[in-house]
Amino acid sequence: MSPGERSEVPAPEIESKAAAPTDVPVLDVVDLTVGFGSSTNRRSIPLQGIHLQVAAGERMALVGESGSGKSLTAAAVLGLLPDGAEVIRGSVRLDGEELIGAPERRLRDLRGRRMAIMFQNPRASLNPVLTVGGQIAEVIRVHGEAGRKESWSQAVDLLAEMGIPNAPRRAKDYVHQYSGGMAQRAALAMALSCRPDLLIADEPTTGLDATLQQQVLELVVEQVDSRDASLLLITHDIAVARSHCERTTVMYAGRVMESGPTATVTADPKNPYTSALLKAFGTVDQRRMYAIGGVVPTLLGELGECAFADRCPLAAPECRDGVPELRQLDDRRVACVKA
Amino acid sequence: MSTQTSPNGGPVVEVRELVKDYVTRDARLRQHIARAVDGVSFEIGAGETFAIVGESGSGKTTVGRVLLKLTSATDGTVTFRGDEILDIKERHFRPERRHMQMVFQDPLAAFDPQATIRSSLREFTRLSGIETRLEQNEAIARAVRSVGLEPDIVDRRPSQVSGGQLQRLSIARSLLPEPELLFLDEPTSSLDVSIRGQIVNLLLDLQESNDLAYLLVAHDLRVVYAMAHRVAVMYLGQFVEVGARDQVYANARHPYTRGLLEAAELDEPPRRGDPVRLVGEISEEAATKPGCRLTLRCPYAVERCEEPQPLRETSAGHLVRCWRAVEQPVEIGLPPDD
Amino acid sequence: MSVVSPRASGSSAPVGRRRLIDSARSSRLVVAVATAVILVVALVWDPDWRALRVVVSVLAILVAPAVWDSQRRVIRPAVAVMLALILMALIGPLFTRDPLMLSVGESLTGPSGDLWFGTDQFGRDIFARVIHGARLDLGVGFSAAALAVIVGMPLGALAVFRGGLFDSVLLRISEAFQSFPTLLLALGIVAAVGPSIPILIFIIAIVNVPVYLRLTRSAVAPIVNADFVLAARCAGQRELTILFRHILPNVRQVVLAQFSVNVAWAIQILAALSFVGLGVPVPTPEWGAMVREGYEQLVYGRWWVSVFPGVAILTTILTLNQLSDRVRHGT
Repeated sequence: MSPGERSEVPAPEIESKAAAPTDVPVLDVVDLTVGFGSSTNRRSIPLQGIHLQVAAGERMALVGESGSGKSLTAAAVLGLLPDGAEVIRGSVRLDGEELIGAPERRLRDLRGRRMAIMFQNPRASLNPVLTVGGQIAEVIRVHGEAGRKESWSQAVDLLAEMGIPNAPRRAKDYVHQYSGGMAQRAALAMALSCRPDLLIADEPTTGLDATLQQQVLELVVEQVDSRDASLLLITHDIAVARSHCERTTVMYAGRVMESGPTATVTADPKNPYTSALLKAFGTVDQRRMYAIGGVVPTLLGELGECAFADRCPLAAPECRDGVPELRQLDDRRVACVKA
Repeated sequence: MSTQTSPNGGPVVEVRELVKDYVTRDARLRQHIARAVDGVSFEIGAGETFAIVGESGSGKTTVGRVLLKLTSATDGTVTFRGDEILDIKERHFRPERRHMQMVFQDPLAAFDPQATIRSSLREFTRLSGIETRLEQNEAIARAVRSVGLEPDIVDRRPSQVSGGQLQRLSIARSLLPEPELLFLDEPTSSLDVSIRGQIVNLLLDLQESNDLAYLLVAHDLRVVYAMAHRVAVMYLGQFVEVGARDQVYANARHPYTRGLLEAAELDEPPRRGDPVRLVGEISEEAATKPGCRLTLRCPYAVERCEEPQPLRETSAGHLVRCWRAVEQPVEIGLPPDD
Repeated sequence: MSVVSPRASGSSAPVGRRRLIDSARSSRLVVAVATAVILVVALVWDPDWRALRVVVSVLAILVAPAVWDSQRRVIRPAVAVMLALILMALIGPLFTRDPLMLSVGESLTGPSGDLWFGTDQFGRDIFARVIHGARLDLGVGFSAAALAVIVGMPLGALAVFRGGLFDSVLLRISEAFQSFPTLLLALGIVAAVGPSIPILIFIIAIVNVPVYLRLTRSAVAPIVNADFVLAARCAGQRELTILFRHILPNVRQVVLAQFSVNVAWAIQILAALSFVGLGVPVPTPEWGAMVREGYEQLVYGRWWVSVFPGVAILTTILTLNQLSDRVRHGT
């Protein structure tokens, strides 16, 4: 299906400009809907009308549990959807340029130059049989004008900037000789080597211990900010969003539940799912933890109701009347009829 | 909080000076000894949760596995209800396994993918001497109901059940032989955030109704806060701080504990003393040092830290392996009293 | 559009169906092993192949549903051809002439309407001999591979389980076996003890045991410390119980894929042995031996004597390899 084509379901009306400090957001995702299977045999629709805007120099957190579609959103943005998945409707624009339907050649070029990704497992983005410095230098050489010698010294500088001690020597090592935290720093160097406008970090610290998580996230924020780049930080931990991102988008079951400035979203959540997530990350001085009943939905179809209705403490009959629209509410958007 | 006791008086399990070495050989067949657990002692009473926290590589899971005799110990003793168990041969110990069970981190890995859940559960009913199929099925149904699920779910395969449900089934399975001690190895860390609370609350309810002793190993300090009565903080094979939950959380003395709490960004409880930021990461090379193993990461490290550090009591039941925390609390940003 | 509700936990119908299939699958495995054992016994004790015929019929009926790929709604060609070959071995001989009867037609006549594959130098019906040969080649191939699995698989798993000296000794022995070219090894043993069908099966099995040993060993190694194995130990299970109930069923797929390749190898070895005259005693119809008998006739343009048994060998081996691919990819 072609990108411009809209199905009979009208996209909720949203001014994409809402809170962006500059005219055109770096990343502008509108009504992105992705399905598995063919149009005649649709197996599931894991992304249902995603709206997401990341302004220049902004740090956006995409928060959700497994199956919420947060990683798939990133894959769709990068044009790296898994086999069997297709964009049903919606658009993804990078600096105003439409990516859905763009030729693979163009996407490949953009992936290297304008947007970069950092995975949960740093070893996924680094080639195990090449030296760490060598592959970063190669990226610099391919995308820039630097020669062999210069690109190597740039790679070493970059590694040093990421806080890798003794970078000139460590650059000659292979990734398996790096510890988990060091490998993630090297992956960040790799991602930033071509000076992207947008860094997508997909759970970059999930496998790491808390002390390291803090170190790596602070480094990511510092490096992204110093380069005036934008960050899309994908995480399951709303506490991470709270301490590292200016804006937060909360996803559940393939939909955006709430989106807005992190401070207001976390201080005064309007969607019951957001408040449930926040409570789940809170501590209380009693032998009890906050629990949301029910199970996390998998294999999503197009429901005629709020996806969280089954587990929501505030669920009412009107929640079942239709998919709640993503409405503008002051400085944020909320998909909840009760908000 | 003092150790609670089991009906027959003493603690359910008592661990003394436990040591576990892993011996590997490199390409030139030279022996390398990695000491995963280095002289750990603790005891757990009935109805009590003893939690071990620490980063991965600290050796906390190894403690639990040695305790359950799933791997051998190098040195030390484990006394279960008054009997030393480390020297018992596996053949004789097998029937005793009913008294101590384990809940795994990843429930999907903990069930045989080829078998139905029922047949996985059935194996555990035999431990408590239930032989007929009918009685086994009844026991399974009871156990599954006790974790809040419908009994017909057990006729599925592990891959057909959600992670949270499977972890409930894993708990049901571990309770089938009616154990006195459960080793909970990161019971919530593979689960979704919204499911974690369900599992923690279930474990708390089951502990109360069955007077179970829990050994909880976790790195999620929120879960530990909700579950533990006493907490040990482990770093590179050693306990660096042990105490009642509130001693450790609200009045942490060891810089490592303080660094962990700082990184976890807990809302509660309020912490005393200056926040500590740990730099760098855990490295096994430091595990062979005679002195404090944290010196390279610790903002307060001085020369004397390289001397051997014993666990010292700072107040009743609160032990710290840091001389500065005991002798110079103010200099390392702590309030003077414990 | 088929859409699944997020409350997927409640649906019980597909679960029930899957259980049925699963139980059918495991009972098939039991039958397959039992079949292999009976085959070996049958070949040693039952020269008339009666037991073999019963066993192969049961096997064919069990495998028949696998011909139809219900998901993609196509026939699986490899399964269909294999089934046809087995049926050919099973009941084909009932409809042919006596493969041993001399001078059915004139010696070395080409294919005709009456004698489809022509006759050999003794005037025997080549068609009848190819059909009868299927019985021998498939029988020996399957039983040799089955014997090799039955011995090699538990040994390989035990090697991982016990580790240490046991593992090293087993590995060295299997390396010693594998360092010889298979055919040369088989040749040596046959030359020493003389050819007969049970001996041939035994020899072909022996040279294949190391293959299964090593394969199983490498498949078991990553799961021997899996959490579910640890859980079984918590349940107080014995080592052997854990091995047979939890570990071997989880490596079944890998070993099964190797099995059909191995049947093909076994047939190749048998044919090769017969070709050099150390296989099945004359005048038993065996494909390899027939190819050899027809070999000299090729230069005189009498191609049919060796080409028809040759095609039979080729078809069987290709089909088995195809089957193995199928099993490996789980289709």
